[in-house]
Amino acid sequence: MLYDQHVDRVYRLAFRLAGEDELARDFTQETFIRAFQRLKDFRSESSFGTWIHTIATSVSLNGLRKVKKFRTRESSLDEAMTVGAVNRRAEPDLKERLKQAIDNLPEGYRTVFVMHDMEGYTHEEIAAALGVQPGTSKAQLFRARAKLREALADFAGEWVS
Amino acid sequence: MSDEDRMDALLRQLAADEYNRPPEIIPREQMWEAVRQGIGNGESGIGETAGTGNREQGSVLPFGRRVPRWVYLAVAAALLLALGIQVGRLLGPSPTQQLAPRTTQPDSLGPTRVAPESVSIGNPRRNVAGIDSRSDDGAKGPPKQKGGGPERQSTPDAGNDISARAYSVAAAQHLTEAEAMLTAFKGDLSQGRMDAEISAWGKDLLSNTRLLLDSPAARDPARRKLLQDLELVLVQIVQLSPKSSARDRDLIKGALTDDQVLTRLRTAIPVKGT
Repeated sequence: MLYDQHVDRVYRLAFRLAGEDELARDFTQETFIRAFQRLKDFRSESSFGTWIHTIATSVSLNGLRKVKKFRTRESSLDEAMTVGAVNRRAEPDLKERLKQAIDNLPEGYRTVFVMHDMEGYTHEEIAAALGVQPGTSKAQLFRARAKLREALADFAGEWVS
Repeated sequence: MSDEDRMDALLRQLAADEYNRPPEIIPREQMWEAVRQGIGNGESGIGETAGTGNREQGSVLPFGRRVPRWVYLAVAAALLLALGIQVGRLLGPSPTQQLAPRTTQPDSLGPTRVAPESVSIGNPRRNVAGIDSRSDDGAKGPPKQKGGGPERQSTPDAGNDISARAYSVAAAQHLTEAEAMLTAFKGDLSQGRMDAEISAWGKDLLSNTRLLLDSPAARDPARRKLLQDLELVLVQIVQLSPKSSARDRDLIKGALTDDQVLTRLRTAIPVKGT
């Protein structure tokens, strides 16, 4: 019952943050395993959703940090092995630029942007999950949007017209 | 709508549609299998209780009404405590070592305390020592200063260390649960109600507190004082009934605040990693 109620939302958030099915599954599974193992620590039935999202964000962000560290090490090895190769990538289109811009946001901004603007969490829910004040969540969202506008400024003319 | 707002709306829409968009079908079943395996095939009862709807038939819901949650907590705490005590008995220091510090402690545990010698962790060991001495001498008498069997003598420090850790784990678990219970109780108190479940939970905690007080876990003076204060508060809570006067409730509230039991409990509980 608890699993059914919350798994979709937890998985969606994990997928949005991770961008891969495999990682999203791992994070979701880890979240529920931790939650069930710590049910004794949980007292208030009404806020189970908040509690599990606190675990989910913590598991996902910690997991992503580890993955990022590992991949950075791997990619620097790859780069070292392909010294002199010319990068002939095409100019990225809007979708790719947007993806890059979101990926390049600081972790806190990106998390709030994903949770609020993509998955529809309220600032109160985000604040509870991340252990910050709702005002901090609002401020981070404001800055995240500003950074995205800045990063995609060259498309602004097409959009607002 | 300003240009900025319009751009934000478009960005939001585009991000929601394109950025790491989750699949329509979520692999619930596969993930559930992994979760189940992860929590030990539901051996703790949790796996069976928290699963998908089609598995719930005949199971007990974790927040359902069949078995109150505190029962799980109380049973888990009692099992852990018993395990800690058992490990302590098996691996603890020799009876002579163990009894020595007890003689230095004043027997001021109060009228509610079980006589220390009757539940002493060292008692079974002392009996073993007694039997040993009889078999050696062929006569009854005070046990010799043998310090346990030869196998124990070979690694006394390791045994002490494991025993101390076991008691520390049991004590930490107990204090964590006590903190949860007192927090819940404080919430009830502020709303002017008294949950019967809390009272039952308090009884379990009270007996465990007394067991711990009579165990090596209480050798640490700070922990001992904390356990004694906790015992006092728990006795008051257990005796509280729905008919109790507001003054009784205020007394408990006072005991909680004046002795800072909750704050001290929180300080004493080791921080867990996420």
